[in-house]
Amino acid sequence: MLELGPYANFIIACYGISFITLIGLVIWVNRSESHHKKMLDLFTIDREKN
Amino acid sequence: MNTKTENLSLWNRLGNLFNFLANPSQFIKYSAYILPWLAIISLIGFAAGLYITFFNTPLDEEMGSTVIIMFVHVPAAWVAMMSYAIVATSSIGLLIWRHPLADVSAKAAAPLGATITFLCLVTGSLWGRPDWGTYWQWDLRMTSVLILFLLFIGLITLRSSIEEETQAGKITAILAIVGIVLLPIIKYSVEWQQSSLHQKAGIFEGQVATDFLIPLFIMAFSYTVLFFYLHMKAMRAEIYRRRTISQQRKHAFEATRKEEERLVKE
Repeated sequence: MLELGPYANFIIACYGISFITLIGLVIWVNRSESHHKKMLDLFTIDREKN
Repeated sequence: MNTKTENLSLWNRLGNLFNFLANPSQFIKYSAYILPWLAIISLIGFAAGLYITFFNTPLDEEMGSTVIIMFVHVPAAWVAMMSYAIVATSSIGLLIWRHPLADVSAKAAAPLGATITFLCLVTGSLWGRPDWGTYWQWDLRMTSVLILFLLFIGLITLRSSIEEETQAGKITAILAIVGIVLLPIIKYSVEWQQSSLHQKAGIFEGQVATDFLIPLFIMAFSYTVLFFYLHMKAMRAEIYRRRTISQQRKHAFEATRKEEERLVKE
């Protein structure tokens, strides 16, 4: 394994921030998509009932 | 003459194919097949890239271990510029062809681009401290990327500040097109300003060893695939949102019409 040396904190911070943010983006877009799809489905079902 | 007709026919066919795929319903249908593949390819790419980074990358003579920050910083910079190019191209598509999916694409790409530009700035700054002795320098490269980030924020804010959706899309598109000027400035800034602490462009000029190029390109590829995954997902969310609003308006219009008819009868 690569020896991270004296600047390990900087390397870990870079990789940590990058991947936490990217995972956050994945969660956000998925939640957003399912939320809007649910809203559309709810509205469509409501209209069909009425 | 025949060749001309064939070319025209090919051009028309391509146009028809584009129109077919750019239809929101077709987009929802076909993106559902593509999205799982993008997720899998991106995941495998990141796993391979991280493995090579931490288990198969030698130390750099000058930078030591901090060279591996390049594998998250450079892809973030490339994808940030690509995302702005997508926003600008979609904006041109909206203003010229008035295609609703172009507006959806521009709107969906802006927050993703802003986040990835932010990552580029943060990782660059954290890489600068051990290598240059400072987190930040107000040189042309860093300042222009900061302006790109602020431009993304400006696009998001401008759009959300205008209530009428069509108007918001058009005004935001104009600003996005004007902002294209930033892309060549970012690209050539390190050549124009020789005193900059930022490294000169050397990845495609053969100045980077193959040991570093392989993980760099794997990570850049994974970043790009992930961006397209995120962009497609965000576009799908926006299409669903617009459909809900459209359904609500239609419902409200029908209810008003029925009420008016009832009042007339009375």
